[in-house]
Order: sequence, then C-alpha cells, then structure tokens
Amino acid sequence: MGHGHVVIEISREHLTERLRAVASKDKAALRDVYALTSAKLFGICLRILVTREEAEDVLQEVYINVWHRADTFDPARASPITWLATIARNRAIDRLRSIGPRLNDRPLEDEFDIADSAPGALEQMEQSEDQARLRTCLDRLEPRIRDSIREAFFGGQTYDALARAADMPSGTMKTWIRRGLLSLRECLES
Amino acid sequence: MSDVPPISPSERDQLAAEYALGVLDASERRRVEALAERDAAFAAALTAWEMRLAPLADEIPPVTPPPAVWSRIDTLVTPSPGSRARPVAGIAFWRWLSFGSMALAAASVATAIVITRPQPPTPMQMAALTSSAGAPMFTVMIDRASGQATMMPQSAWTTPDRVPELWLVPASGAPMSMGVFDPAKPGRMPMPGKMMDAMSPGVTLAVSVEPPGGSKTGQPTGAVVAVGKLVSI
Repeated sequence: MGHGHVVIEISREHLTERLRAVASKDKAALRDVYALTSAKLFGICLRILVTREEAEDVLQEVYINVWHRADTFDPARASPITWLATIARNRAIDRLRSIGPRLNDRPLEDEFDIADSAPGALEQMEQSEDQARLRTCLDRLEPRIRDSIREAFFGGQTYDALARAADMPSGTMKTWIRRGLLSLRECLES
Repeated sequence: MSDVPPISPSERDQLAAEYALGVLDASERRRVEALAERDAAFAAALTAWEMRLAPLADEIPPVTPPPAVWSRIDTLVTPSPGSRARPVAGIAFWRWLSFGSMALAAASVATAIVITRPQPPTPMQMAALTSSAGAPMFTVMIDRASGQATMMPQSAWTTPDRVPELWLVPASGAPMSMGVFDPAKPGRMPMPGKMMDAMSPGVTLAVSVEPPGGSKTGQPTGAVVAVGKLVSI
C-alpha cells in the first residue's frame, strides 16, 4: 500500500499566528490554540500531578493565563509549543508543591512508565535537532545520574523526594544532579 | 536591597538549572523567581535552561483532556478590546514563562466575578484525529450554528499525487465524504443538513489518502491515515 512519502512537521507558523490573534483577544483563536495543544499540555500536567482533577485544574489555569498574556509570547525566543509546554510544566510543579508530600511519595504508575514510552515512527520523524542533541548529551552521562535527571524532569520531584525514592541521602542526590546538569550544559554548548 | 546573600555566577547558573529541572521546593522556587524579577541576566539564564530541557517534554504522550475543561475556560474568558500588545523584555518573557500565574490570579478571579450571566451552550464539537502511532494529525471543529467544519492540520503533510479526504463514519451505515482538503493550511468545509444530523458526539471522523479530486467510488479507497472521535466542547 504505497501511499507516498509522508513528511510531518509541527505547524509552528500557524500556531504562532493563532497566538498573535489570542493576544488581540480573538476568542476563536484561543479555541484553536486549545484544540491544537491541549492534549500535549494535559499529558504534561497529568505526568506531574497524576490525578486528573488536579491536572484539569492546572490545564484550565494555563489557558486562562494564555488568554491574558499571549502578548508576551516571543517567537524569537521559543517555539509556541515549547513556550506553552514550559508554562504548563511550571504551573504543574507549583501545584504539586502546594498539594504537599501526599503525591510526592506516590509510586510511579506503569501507565506513565517513561522507560517504555518509545516514540512511534511518526513522532520520531518529528524529533527536532534540539531533541537529538539533548538525547545524545544525556546518553553521555553516567546512567544513574541520567536516570535521576530524567526522573526529576518527568515527575517534577524535589531533591528530598527523589532521594527518598532512591533510598539514598538527599545530599548525594543533590551532588549527582548538580554534576549531571553541569556536564549536560558543557555537552550542549560544545 | 537584596535579601539573598550574593552568589557566584556558577551558583546562579546552577540555581537556574535546578529551577528548570523542577527539583527545588516551594520556597526555593519563590526565591529564584524573586531573583529573576530583578535580574535580567539571571532571567535569561533561567529561560536558557528551560529551553535546554524542554525537548524532554516531547517524550510525554499526549492525553486528550475531557470537554469540561474547555467549557470552563470558555466561560472564564471574555474579549476585552482595550488590551494592547506590549513589547517583550527579557524579564517579562521569563516572568510569563515561569511566574505568570501568581500575578494573574487576581485578574482571572475578577473575570470570573464579572461573568455572572449564564452563557448559552456553545454549539461546537471537535475531533482530534491521530495517526495509528498516536501522533496528532488533524483537528476538526464542527460549528453547528454556521453548518461548517473547520479542518486544522496539526502537521504539514505532503503526499505526491494524492489528497486527503475527510470522512464521517457513523456507528452504522457507510462512511460519508465531507470532502477533500488542503493539508497545508486550515480550511472550512460546508456541511449539508443530512451530514449535520449524523454529526453527534461519539461518531468517528477519519482521513484517507485518495486520488486528486477525491475518491471516485464515494467510499474510502486509500490508506486511512488519521482517526478520531467527535466530542462536544
């Protein structure tokens, strides 16, 4: 069934244009931005917050803020989807901290097991240069340090929670991650 | 002026990295935000770290949120024509990235209080069509008021000598063609009344790859590249 070569890339310009329209208070544009990006952002919120109620709350907060502050989006500094994803992640981490240790001690659910979430063929084609670079640099880290950094990113967990989960002193976890971040920066800038 | 002891440039970069990674506790996060508020160089370092780590988020599988989330957002936002776009300084951009919600909480609450009259239900439906690998391909919005479907490609798409065609697949009965479309840009497709009647939440929409002008048989003939269910929003 040869239906030709399919090239996929995220339509960055379209989303940038829609965000500009949101900045001029075009409600249909907000709906478009939501339709295009909410699944990705909800995935991020769910990953950090685990419970759907909290994730839905944060998702709502993010788009309300996008409505009010879309004018601060600067396409020269970030792609629109990266900008939105970073906002969602920061809001989700803040929510996680305000919930307290209840969720910080949760076990990792199989459903969200990062190690098994190999991207599909289409997503692999979408992978950007930045992503490939980060992956290469992460791969150069000591495995236990790489794992800690990944776990910190995906779970939004504090040093203390990470150390507890790994059954090691908090100071050791801090040292590992700091060392890892330093190596990562050197690698990314080389 | 500063309530924080001076720290070296390498410590500052470390702090920015820790914030971006998400390992700081709540009070440390507020301290970092306060530092970024008054120090443009630190704000830039913070943004740089957030951009360095951002590609990791691409590994997180997308999950479609329930329709109720959009309904709440829809109720909470109202166009206010007085607003103006402002130039973005380094700190402003960062502040929004990392800190926007706190400053804006008051604004959101004010909006919520002003909107007291109930809004009529929005006659909108949408479907997020994904590939078999789960990648987002197209978003279709159905506006019942105007009888139009809006097709928004989520990905730029080329298939030499083939065109994508959108289908409504009812629970029983044959698929109905909604027409061919340009995969390079958003477009509108009118919906005849009969199709509108079948357009109820839960029905499937699908995109197949067809010869130019669309399927000659009136039924999908090529590969189905994206599928999704219609939901009310």
